[in-house]
Amino acid sequence: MDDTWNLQKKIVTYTLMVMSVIALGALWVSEEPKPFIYALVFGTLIGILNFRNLALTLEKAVTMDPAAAQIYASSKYFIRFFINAVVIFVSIKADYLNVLGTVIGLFLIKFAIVATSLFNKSALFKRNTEGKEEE
Amino acid sequence: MEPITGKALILACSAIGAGLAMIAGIGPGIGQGFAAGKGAESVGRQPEAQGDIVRTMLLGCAVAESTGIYGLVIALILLFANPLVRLL
Repeated sequence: MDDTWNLQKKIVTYTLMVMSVIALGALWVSEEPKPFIYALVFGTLIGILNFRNLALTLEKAVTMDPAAAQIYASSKYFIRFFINAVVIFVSIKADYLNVLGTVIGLFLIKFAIVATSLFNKSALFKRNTEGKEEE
Repeated sequence: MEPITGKALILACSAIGAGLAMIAGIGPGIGQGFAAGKGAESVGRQPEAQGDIVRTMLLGCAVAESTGIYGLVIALILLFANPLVRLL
């Protein structure tokens, strides 16, 4: 199994949970929630697929020669960038999708990563004390 | 020669702004490539740490990508849904 599969599952689960909360909030607050919710789901799903693509890219890149890995990772990044551009363009042009919803959906996975890993104080504390215990 | 209208000026400046905003997309690409190269070097030096290296790189790269998307969003909004034109 992949090295990062459990991490991916955790991040995607958190993202879907946050998406559900935001969608329910929009349903509660807005009078016309459909475009926002459609766009949120659309953006989140594309964000999750981009994240999976990033994971596959990095898993393959670390087994390659460093110079080839640089080119491979950069070229894959620009493919994901183009996919994001198409998604945002479609949501701007389509009346049934809200642009803000799509952008929030695309960034949701980043917020989930920041919330789960970087602000996880217990993990940070464990990481900081691991080295000191051995000394 | 026809005088430059306000709308034409706004559209021209928006196009220049969109081009400048797209420069933001290049940085994460270079950075991600550099990180992947260094990751490959690290795995070559210490193969048993591959899982940790990939996990750390995955989280870092995913967050680093967002700055490129910020620029992309600004550029596409300036080009296709310009809010400044409506102010005229």
